Amino acid sequence: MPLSELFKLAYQSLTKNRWQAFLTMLGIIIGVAGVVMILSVGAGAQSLIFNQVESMGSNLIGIMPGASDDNGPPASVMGITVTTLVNDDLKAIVEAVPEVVAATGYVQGLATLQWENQQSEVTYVGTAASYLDVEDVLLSTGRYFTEIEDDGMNNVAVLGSQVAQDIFGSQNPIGQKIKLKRDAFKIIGVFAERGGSFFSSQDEQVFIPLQTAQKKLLGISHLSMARLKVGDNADFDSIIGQTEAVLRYRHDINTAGEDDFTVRSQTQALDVLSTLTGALNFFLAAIAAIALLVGGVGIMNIMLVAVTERTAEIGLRKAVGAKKSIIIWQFLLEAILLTLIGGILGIILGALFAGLIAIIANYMGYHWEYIVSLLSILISSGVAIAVGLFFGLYPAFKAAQLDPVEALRYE
Amino acid sequence: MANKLIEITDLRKQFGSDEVITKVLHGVSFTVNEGEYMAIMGPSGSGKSTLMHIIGFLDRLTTGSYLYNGLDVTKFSDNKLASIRNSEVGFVFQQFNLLSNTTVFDNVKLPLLYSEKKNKDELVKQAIAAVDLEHRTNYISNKLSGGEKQRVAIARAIVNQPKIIFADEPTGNLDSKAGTKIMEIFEALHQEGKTIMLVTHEQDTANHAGRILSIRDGLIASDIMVEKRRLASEAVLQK
Repeated sequence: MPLSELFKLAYQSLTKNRWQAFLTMLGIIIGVAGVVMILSVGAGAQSLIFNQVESMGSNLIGIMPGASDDNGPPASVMGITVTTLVNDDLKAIVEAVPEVVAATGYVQGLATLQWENQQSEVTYVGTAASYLDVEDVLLSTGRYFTEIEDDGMNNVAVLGSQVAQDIFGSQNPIGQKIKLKRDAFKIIGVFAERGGSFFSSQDEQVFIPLQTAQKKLLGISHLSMARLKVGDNADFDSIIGQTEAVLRYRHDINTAGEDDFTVRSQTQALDVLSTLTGALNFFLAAIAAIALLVGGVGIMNIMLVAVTERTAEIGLRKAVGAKKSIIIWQFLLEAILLTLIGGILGIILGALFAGLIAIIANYMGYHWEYIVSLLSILISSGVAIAVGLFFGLYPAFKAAQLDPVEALRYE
Repeated sequence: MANKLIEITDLRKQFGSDEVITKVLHGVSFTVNEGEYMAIMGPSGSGKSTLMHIIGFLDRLTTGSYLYNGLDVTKFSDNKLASIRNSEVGFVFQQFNLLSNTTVFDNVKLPLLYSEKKNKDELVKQAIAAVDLEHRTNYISNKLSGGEKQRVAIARAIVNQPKIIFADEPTGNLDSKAGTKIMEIFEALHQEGKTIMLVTHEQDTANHAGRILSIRDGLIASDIMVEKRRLASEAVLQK
């Protein structure tokens, strides 16, 4: 019996009980849609984070306070305050490592921004004057603060584009005075629009001199993190080694195992991010795969019911000459067809949902890439067919084993 | 001399496992020639349907021998039996056993799905014409009357142009008019040279056959050519 005839038979059986077939398929549809959507959203989020990190330039080295192992995040990223990294550490690094062309420390906090009768909760970021050189950012108007202003703890501020738009609208904010907490700040510049990142949008932040932020607003002397910019074609391993040596010397550390800081290049940071997001994606996809498995059990259940319901038909088919192998194929193809159609619908649904999420994310200002990889389609449809095969096999064999005489008598 | 199509010798059949064994046929022997029209008669539980299932290749005997066209059927594999059922025999059942929600055409075509024959659609049309149901070709089987359903079943049984047609109580669920029509079709098929084996417990139906094999308690009670049987009963009446 040609395969096309078998497919036709399987298709006819399914279309006879459309609702039953659709409800059976639903488990597979949800499972596959879940896998496709989660993998797509995961890939989109990953690319967003990567693009954000890469947009700052590939020749950056980050210093985080607190130790970490090779693959995990430093303690400071996990929300633990570590106060060991200070401004003088950076100055020492810039002096000792000639390949470092610029460096800045970072601190940040939340404050109420006031201007005339307007109020807004903003994140303020304290950076050194060299911030512009480190992160390759541009101003749309005005200027960034100078080293002298930083050292003098001057109250000057540079606004993110969104903050400027929200507070001042079409007015020119340069020269205006805003209040952060209780201190008045003079606006000296506005950043060009930079786009959102996964965690926060720099367009919604206010930038002030590092030492002003540390001493006046936060009352601290340590840094949350620091970034070093190195020259093109720099030897990262050597620079990281030198940086670590300077920090160990300054922090009185004798062995690498006792480090109270983490120095990583952008590439290493991306590797860590990739490991983290990859693990998260895998975990979420595994949950979706459980839905697929449940869908598979549903298929087995309905196929077993079908074998019982169609006992007389199976007996008749055997009586008129259908061999066992043909009966097996007929039922197996029905199960496969169920999962295949369910899989295709699931892929379409998953891709649509992922697209919707991408549209919403872009609308919210994130540069979210819509990625439905061929791999995710192949994996989910492959798993769906495998589920159909696996869970369809037992009912198919059960059908083939039926005694034709007994089956014919069945009512 | 007519060709011996079926040769059964000391056929025994029992069902069940070691603990509960039901013996149904206790040693049945007979031959069937090609082109014969034979009725197997007997009361319920006599073993006539079991006998038909065995000689119709649907079931296997427990002991004894069964030669079909000189070939030992007991040595056939399940696949070989399926092939023979497809090419050599056609079945007509009391309950019609049609596929529901399926057209007459597709029901009749069913055996051809498992056959290598060419011009399948043409064969289906010929079979439907042979039972005078051309006007119902595209009807869904559920919508037909009992008599029409049985004619569809007969068309399905002959579509593969088999040598033998097995019919198990073919008129059992029909009124007398529809039953007469069915028996006329069997008569016509017999005239065409088909071997027909009819299982029935109705004497009137059995009387259409040229030979009546009576089964009682798993054994052959009598095996009479109808002409001879008629003469014998007339002799009894004269006495």
